Amino acid sequence: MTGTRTTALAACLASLFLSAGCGTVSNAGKTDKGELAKESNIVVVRPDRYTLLGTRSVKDYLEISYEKFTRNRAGFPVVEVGVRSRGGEHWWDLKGPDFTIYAQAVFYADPVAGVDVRGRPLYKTNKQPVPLKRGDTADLSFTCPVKGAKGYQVIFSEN
Amino acid sequence: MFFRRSLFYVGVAAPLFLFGCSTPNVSDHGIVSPDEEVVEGGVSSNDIRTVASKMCPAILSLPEIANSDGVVRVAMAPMRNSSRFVVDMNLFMKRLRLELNRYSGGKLRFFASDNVAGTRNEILKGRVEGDVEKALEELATRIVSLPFVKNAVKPVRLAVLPVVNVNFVKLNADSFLSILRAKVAERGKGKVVFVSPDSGEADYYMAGQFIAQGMKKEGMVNLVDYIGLMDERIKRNQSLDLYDDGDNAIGEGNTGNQVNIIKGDWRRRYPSLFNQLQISARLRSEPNVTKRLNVMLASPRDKSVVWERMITIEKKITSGIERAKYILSGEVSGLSKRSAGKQSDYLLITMQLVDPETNEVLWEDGYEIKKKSEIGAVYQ
Repeated sequence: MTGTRTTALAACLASLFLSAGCGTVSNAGKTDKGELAKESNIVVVRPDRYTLLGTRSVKDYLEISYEKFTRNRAGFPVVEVGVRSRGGEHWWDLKGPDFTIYAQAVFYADPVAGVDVRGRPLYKTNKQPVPLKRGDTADLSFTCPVKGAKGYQVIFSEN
Repeated sequence: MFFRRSLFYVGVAAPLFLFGCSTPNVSDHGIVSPDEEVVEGGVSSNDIRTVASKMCPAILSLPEIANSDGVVRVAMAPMRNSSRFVVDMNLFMKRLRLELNRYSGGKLRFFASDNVAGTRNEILKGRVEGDVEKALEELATRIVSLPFVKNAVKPVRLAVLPVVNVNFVKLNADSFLSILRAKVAERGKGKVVFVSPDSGEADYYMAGQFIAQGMKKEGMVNLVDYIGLMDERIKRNQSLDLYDDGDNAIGEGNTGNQVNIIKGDWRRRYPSLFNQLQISARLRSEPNVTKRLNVMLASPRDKSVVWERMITIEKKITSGIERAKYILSGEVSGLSKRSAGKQSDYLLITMQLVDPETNEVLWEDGYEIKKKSEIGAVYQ
């Protein structure tokens, strides 16, 4: 009796594994709205690797010294961000390396921070290199050539 | 028993756990983002895109552009390359133009580059041909409506003389006058008859001259002089070919030039005319200028012009650049150093907006970057 039950259970599990891979297409997962709502106007892309002893995120070295969203004389939205390299601040990483990050500004029709719905961006800059030496502040400015932009997100990445 | 069951569940769960840890098999397939620096050093696609991304909003924000009413036309001057890199500098302008066209909302207009010139010329010439047909019809209507034609008791006899400056403008001159003659004959309804010029019976000569506008050496011929010359040739039973002098074809000062075979005494009597014809003969390439056909009716008796009208045969094909309000130009300057296998390049990419009227620089901005590398970049 026990042997029969065990066999049936094994068959059930096996069919479950197999059926999962049988579909021609599968639905793409949607971004979690809660996660989206948590995003602020300035984000750093996720680390390229997680390890047991921490991550390899460039976020460790960065701090935002100021952030400003204005409009210029012509009425175009302008984002000004100050980003500073503070060096390593963990006991296992005390170095203060010089490095280059890339910054990209994305402008939206509506505000982004704290909002769980996001539409297609109105304008995107390219990924612009920002060389940083330890202690340096890079004063970045991005102008959107579309007047209707009310929201933005500045994304920092390693490449 | 319990131990065996547990072992079974662990055995089933372990593969499950391992399957869940597998990572997707992804690859860039050799395709990377244009922002990515694949090879260190030199001018990169990222520089081109960054310049466009920075300059586009800056240009659109200028008061001269943002506050202007209507379309602003901008001529793009070629980028100057003062760096050590042999790069297609047009890439900077093309990428910027792309960005400006995308986001200016039609406010900025640029002029097409040379690659459309051939097709454009064909289109414009085709359009003008239709206009010429209409103009010739209008000329014919006017000629038959002239009082001395309309009120003539007997049919008016017209003789068509060859068109002057044919060599000069490279047009099929006779075809225009032939079409005009046919239209005049058709509309005249018997009031106008065409006779051979050498018959000596013509009441009026119908002569034409091509005029090329705005050339340094126009080779302009006084059409009345020309009619007089033709009239004399007719009376001497000579052909209407200016270069044909029969037995006396080789005249003084012959250097092999076609014009010089015209007899010396004729050249002395019509110095200005022959001088101009000589100039015309030298200019045998088709000039890109507005070409007009001047049609004239002249009386053989006193060589007086009784009627004259000018029509446009071909319009000068311009690039349209004369309508540009501003010139956008730029330069890539570089400072390069090399030592012990290492090299560095400082690049300064500047853009300017210039008013062509005043030559004033309305706006200038720049993007600078310094790159280091250990191998030299080679562009292909």
